[in-house]
Amino acid sequence: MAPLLQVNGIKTYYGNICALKGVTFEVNAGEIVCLIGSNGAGKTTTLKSITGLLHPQEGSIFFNNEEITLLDAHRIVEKGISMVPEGRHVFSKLTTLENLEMGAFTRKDRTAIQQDIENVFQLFPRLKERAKQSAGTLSGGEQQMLAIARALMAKPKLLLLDEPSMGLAPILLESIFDNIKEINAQGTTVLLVEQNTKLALAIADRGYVLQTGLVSLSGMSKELRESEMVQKTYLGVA
Amino acid sequence: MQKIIEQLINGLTVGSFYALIALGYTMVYGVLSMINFAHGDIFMVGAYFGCFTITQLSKSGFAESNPALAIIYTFAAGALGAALTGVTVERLAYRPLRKASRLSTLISAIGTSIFLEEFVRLVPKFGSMISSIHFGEQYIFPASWRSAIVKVTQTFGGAMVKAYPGILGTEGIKLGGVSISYSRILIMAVAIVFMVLLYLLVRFTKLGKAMRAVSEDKETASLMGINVNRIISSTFFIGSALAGIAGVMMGIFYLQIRTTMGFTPGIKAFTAAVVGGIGNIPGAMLGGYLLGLAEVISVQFLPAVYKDIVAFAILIVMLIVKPTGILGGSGGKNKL
Repeated sequence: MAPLLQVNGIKTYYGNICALKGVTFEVNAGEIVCLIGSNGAGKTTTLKSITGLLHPQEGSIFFNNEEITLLDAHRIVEKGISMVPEGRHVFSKLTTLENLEMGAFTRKDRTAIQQDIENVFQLFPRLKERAKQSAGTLSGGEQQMLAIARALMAKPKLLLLDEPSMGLAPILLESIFDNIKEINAQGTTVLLVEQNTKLALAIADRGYVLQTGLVSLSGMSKELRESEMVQKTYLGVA
Repeated sequence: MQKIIEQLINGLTVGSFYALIALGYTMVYGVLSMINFAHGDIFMVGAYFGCFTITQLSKSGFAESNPALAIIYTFAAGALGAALTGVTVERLAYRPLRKASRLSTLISAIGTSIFLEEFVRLVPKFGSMISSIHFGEQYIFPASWRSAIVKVTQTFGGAMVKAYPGILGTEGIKLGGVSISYSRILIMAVAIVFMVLLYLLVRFTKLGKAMRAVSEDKETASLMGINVNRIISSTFFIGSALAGIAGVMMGIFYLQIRTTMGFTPGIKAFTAAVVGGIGNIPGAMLGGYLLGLAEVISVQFLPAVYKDIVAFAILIVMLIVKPTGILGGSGGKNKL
């Protein structure tokens, strides 16, 4: 069976600067796959290229056997990919509920949307308490939950998460990562970008290591955890 | 006392113009963080579309037999004409410059403003040019079309001041010695209805929520599947339609329009938007009425010619004391 997402040698530029020098990887339906790497390795650029916020100049991206390389961002959401952007980017002037409604923007099935709002409230009970509050008044952890919940409202086949651990208290980290596992268990494929390599490898099935715009290593999470390079560079094991 | 109340009503009438036009400035600023300096001319275009419609309706006698319908059609024509102009301006003059520096967009807006004024002025010339296209002895349009083109374009635009047929006359009602003309009542009522509608739209509809989302963060909005360009077009459509309505009102109120009529109300409405807090919708409404009232109050104490000075003095003081406006947030981060 063809993978759900297939990224073939994409090269993405910011002006003249080449941020991705031919990144290739794939995500199979049902998996959690993580991209790890340090600052500036091209992780976020990779996600932005998939979601259409940036367009690669070379290479191709296939989703569900359909080429999406040059589609605009809002069309790609309709295909079934949604993204939790780095730094959460909730709409701070909108209420929690309105943020969730925006997540379901492409959908027309009102009753099902209501049902899904209830579902995400079950996953994140804290959000239900904050439903009428404007999102800017939420704490960092609540905003992260809202960003994830909002992305789920599009009913994605593939969920992209960009640095969900960023700026979260350690106690919240685990619960957010438990949520991600649960979302995956309910049938959503997950592509996770994370600087917290340890946590990422703990929940992912497979991983790719990005270095200066190229995939330098890939394998099952277990293999990556044991690889000397990963241990030295990203896990801080001497 | 009567005089004071009459002056207040006068201020609310003028404030209605300012408020409706200011909404367009503030909405466009909210989604694009740019000042649409062609907005005053979009207001003017709306007045001309309304004038054309009401002139036709008066000529055919329809306006006399069905004044209510005639007024509705006039407002609809003004709103639609201005809205389509606004959307076209955004598409052609602003969207290609979306990623350019602010100065480029500003210059494009000023150019658009001059273009619209001159275009409306020259419409009859275009009409006679088009109608006289010919190859040898042969005109490409039949004679009846040619005279129709000339007639329509002459009725629509031109360098001369255009008279708005007075549908409401100068009559009105008297309330305890205070007389209020029907045209003032109509203007205030229409302005309030459309402001309430706009508020409900922005607050409760999917389009309104998407406008607020786009105003806050375009990139994330597109990640929600929101077609950002379409929302921006809708914003221009709505803001320009409100300006068109204000244009028709001004025609009904002052009974004459000209191609340069957009300049002063445009800048005053911009002042109103800044006073209320640019980017903030209730702020634009508040600023519009405050400015209208400030003008009529100033007329009580100063010669009438000073009222523009008062308006712009308010702008300057506001920019110095509280640049984000009365209802504006801090740091220029006003959002719809």
